[in-house]
Amino acid sequence: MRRRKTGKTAKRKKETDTVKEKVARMLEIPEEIVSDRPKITTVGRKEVFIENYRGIIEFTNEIVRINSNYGIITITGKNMKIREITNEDIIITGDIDNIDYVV
Amino acid sequence: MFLIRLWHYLKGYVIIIVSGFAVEKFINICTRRQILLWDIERTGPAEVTMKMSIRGFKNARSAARKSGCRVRIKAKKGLPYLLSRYRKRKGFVAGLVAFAVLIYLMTSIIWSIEITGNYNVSKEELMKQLNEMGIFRGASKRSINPKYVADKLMLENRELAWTGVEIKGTRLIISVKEGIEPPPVIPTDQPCNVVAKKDGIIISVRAKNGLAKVKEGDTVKKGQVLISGVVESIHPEFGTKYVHALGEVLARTWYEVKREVPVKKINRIRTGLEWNRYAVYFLDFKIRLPSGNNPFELYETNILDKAPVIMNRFKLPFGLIIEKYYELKEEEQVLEPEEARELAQKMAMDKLSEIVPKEAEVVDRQMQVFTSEGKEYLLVTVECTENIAMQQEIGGN
Repeated sequence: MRRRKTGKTAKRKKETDTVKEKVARMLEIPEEIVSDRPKITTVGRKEVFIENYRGIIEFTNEIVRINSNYGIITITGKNMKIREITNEDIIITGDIDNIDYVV
Repeated sequence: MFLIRLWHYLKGYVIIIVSGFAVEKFINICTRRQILLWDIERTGPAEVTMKMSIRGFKNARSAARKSGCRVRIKAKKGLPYLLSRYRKRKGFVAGLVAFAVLIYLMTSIIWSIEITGNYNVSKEELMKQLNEMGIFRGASKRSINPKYVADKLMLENRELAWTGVEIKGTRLIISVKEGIEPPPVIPTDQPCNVVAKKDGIIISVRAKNGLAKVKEGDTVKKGQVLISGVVESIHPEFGTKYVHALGEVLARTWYEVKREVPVKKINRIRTGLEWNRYAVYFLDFKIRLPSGNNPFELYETNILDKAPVIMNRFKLPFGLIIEKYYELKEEEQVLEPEEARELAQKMAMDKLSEIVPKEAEVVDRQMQVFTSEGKEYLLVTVECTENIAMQQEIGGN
């Protein structure tokens, strides 16, 4: 993992369990509901679905960089498009090669 | 996916090209403002194409200013734009609406009333009753309650055994079944006789009440008393007792039909020539289209009604009538004796099936050919067993 110095980089949180998450685990509620950790789902190599993101930093056909509370998620590939983007989630499609956390 | 696309299409969207160096910032501002973006694609070094809802686009201007991007509309898609294009063509829209309304109105009206299955009750009579109920051609479909109409028709016409009322599109179909009207029933507390319905030879008498006046082997005439309701006592001091005579009297009856055996038969054959007469109609107004005079002397016609029927249900009140005239020629055919007799027999049988009552059991059938005044006749005699008992008031005819 490389460290990139970018002005836009979010304040990096230490990934420790918050009180909210502990309570959620105790009550057996799915953690992603209460936590602010990003959830990344990939379907094959064509589709990446990211929840709990904070914003996009860079978007080209070859690279998409997405800011999250725990670092920048960098997705590299070819012919990448954003199929849908809302406040909570983003769907990226294309021929995906790599999904990286850049801290 | 398809549903989402359909939803976008119905709500309308714009395809925009955003150019600038901070396109990502524009996207972020838009998402933060709850503007839905989709199909974002980079089309150049400083250019991104995306789709956005109409509502979102109104807010996107300030987002563009904030991010220093330029927004151009590439295309407007969706139903709202399609509609706004047609909004200018007022006549077209008015026509569309008028068409829909007209179709709706036309199909919510009864355009034809069909009555089937009636023999003794005339169509006119039934029509009159329907009119009184407020059912006529042009009446609203919604005002008709088929069940009520059926009940009312049943009540008003004793002859009807069953009535079905059905609305099929714009047609009102009334199918009736006529029953046989039962003979007048004499109340059981009233004395009566049992008389013969027709001539015959008695096979058996079963008197359930009253005094049998005939016995097996007797020949009876129509109207003759078979079981008397007047019971005279052996002892005159008791006087005469009147009872409600009841019973079953089986008798042998005969029916005969005479038919001439034809020598020749005239066949009418279509020559193959035909000629059409056309007419158009709207409701009851019929306009004959000029089509000349019928060129045939001998012809048969076939009338075709070419009314537009939508989906087999909605018959519209106008259409084209084609009267087809087929030319005929007569050909005489001299019949072979065999054939001629067969023909005569067929005619006689047809007649017999009309006159022999259904409840009679046919026991024997005889055929006889005889000649009289140079013509040949066929006589068919049918022997039946049937109940000839019929109740009749005492002293009546």
